[in-house]
Amino acid sequence: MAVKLITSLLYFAIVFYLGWKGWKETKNAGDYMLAGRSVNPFVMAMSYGATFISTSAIIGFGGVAAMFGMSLLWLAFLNIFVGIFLAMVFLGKRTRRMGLVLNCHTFPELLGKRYNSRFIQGFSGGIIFFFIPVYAAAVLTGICRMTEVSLGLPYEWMLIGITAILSLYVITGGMKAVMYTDAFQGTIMVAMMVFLLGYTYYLLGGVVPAHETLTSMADLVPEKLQKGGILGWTQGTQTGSPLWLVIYTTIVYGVGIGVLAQPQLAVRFMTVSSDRELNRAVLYGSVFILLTIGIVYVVGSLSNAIFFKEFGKISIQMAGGNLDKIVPVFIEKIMPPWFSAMFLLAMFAAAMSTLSSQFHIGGTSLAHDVSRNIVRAKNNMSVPSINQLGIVVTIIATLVWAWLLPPSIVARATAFFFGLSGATFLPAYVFGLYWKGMTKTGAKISIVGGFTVSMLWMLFIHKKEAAAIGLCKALFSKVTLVADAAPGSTMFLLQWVDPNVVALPISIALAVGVSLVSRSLAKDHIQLCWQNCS
Amino acid sequence: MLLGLGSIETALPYWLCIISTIGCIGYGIKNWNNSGTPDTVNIESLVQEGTDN
Repeated sequence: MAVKLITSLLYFAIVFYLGWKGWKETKNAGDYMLAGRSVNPFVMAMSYGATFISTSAIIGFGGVAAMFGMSLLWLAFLNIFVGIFLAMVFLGKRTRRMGLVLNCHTFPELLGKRYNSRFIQGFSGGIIFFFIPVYAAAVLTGICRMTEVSLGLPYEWMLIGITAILSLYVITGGMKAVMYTDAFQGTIMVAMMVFLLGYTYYLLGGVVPAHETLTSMADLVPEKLQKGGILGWTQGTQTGSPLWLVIYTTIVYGVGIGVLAQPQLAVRFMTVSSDRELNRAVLYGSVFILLTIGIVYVVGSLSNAIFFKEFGKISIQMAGGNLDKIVPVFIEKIMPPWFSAMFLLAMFAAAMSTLSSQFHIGGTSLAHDVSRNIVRAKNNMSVPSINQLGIVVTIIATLVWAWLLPPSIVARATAFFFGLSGATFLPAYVFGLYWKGMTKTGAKISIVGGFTVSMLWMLFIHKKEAAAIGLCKALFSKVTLVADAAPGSTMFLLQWVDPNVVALPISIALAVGVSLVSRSLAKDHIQLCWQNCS
Repeated sequence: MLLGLGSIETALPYWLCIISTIGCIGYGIKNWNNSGTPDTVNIESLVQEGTDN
């Protein structure tokens, strides 16, 4: 316990120092919102990665990997290839260039100025401000529950304490403080994950013997999972089965593709000064994702082999049936004692790096995109003060959600936000960067249409969210609208199809279809948007 | 090639993760000093604008 407390104090001291450094270097609105557009590529890549990978990605998806096996590595591959390479090379460079020429400070402002629409900026900012606190509440409650167990401190204290520490440096230091601390926190995460992988393979006699051991355990996969379509932890899934749909639509398609239109990630492209920084960030970012997400999926799956070897039980049995406890139990029972203190720090780091960015994007969306003009007109406040006020409101909203929402909803919040962002923003964002023919009306209809379909699918069809939220049950007395379809039929299987599979194509079709028949934006505006794009 | 994994469905993404990371490292090294075409807007002037707020 003493080791845990000392390392935690040391960690927070460094975080405070970096937060203070960010505050000292913040002189104007550009610094506060975009870190002066001159961030080092290592800091940018680590901040991008650490924002992307939260505690729930490590603890939650590590547990999912222990259940479903290594098929999840498709998600890690997509995170590297799509989330890093395609995102930075094809979206990042254009975002930076267009954002610079249009003098944008936030993701909604980029969309708004690209389409010359205050509605798009306000609506996008509103969606981000309204939903990001729910996602942040999921991350916050996750780390508070973990520290409650690990340090024995009351949950409410942790909730207030962690929020207070984050508030201090996010509100005062803005984007610079967020990115400096992210980079430090990302480095801790990588170091811990590398040790975790090395030790796991060492315990099982090396890479190939470890995999072979897990392969030979296929018959130990719980019966329920076998019936759902899991063939084994390294054998994959039966094509078309419910769990095949869960893995390949929700996890791979939903989270893997959805990452492209995450406002809190896209805004980071505008924090660097040239394409050179993004080229370098591709290198750092890919290594970061491989060494965090890639490792957790492998270790999560292999935890079955180690637990079985040591205790004669598979992971889910060791965790008493609670998927979220698999990784923490693995750390406590299998890893050396000193590691559990360090791993706790890595989890602090993962949660705080994601939370700080969520608070920052929520606050700037509210202040800069939704209400800046109203507040400014009435109070004559400076831009940084309005942003600080926005962040305070976002933090309060997060705390309220964390207290009010039932755990079942909070647990779905990450996938919920990723899905919603993908369907709402992706077509308008990508076409906005590459297609001069995309019109203001096309963008508006695509954003509103994608958002609406995505929400309806989550509320009434997709079982995970529909069951957690309970609106469908309240209105129609059944968990989903297709719950009473014939089991195994296409209609019945829709319950496991991710909202993005339906909402994203509709959003794309609306963007293209409406743009082809609606009035184009003025030529000189398009010329301005493309002025800095080679 | 399968590294002891039970199917191509899991071995393929295992390799793809490693290969895509190596590809990204190669891309980063190859373009380490490639700034692309110079910006038509001066960042300094935007930063100066922000200071006025």
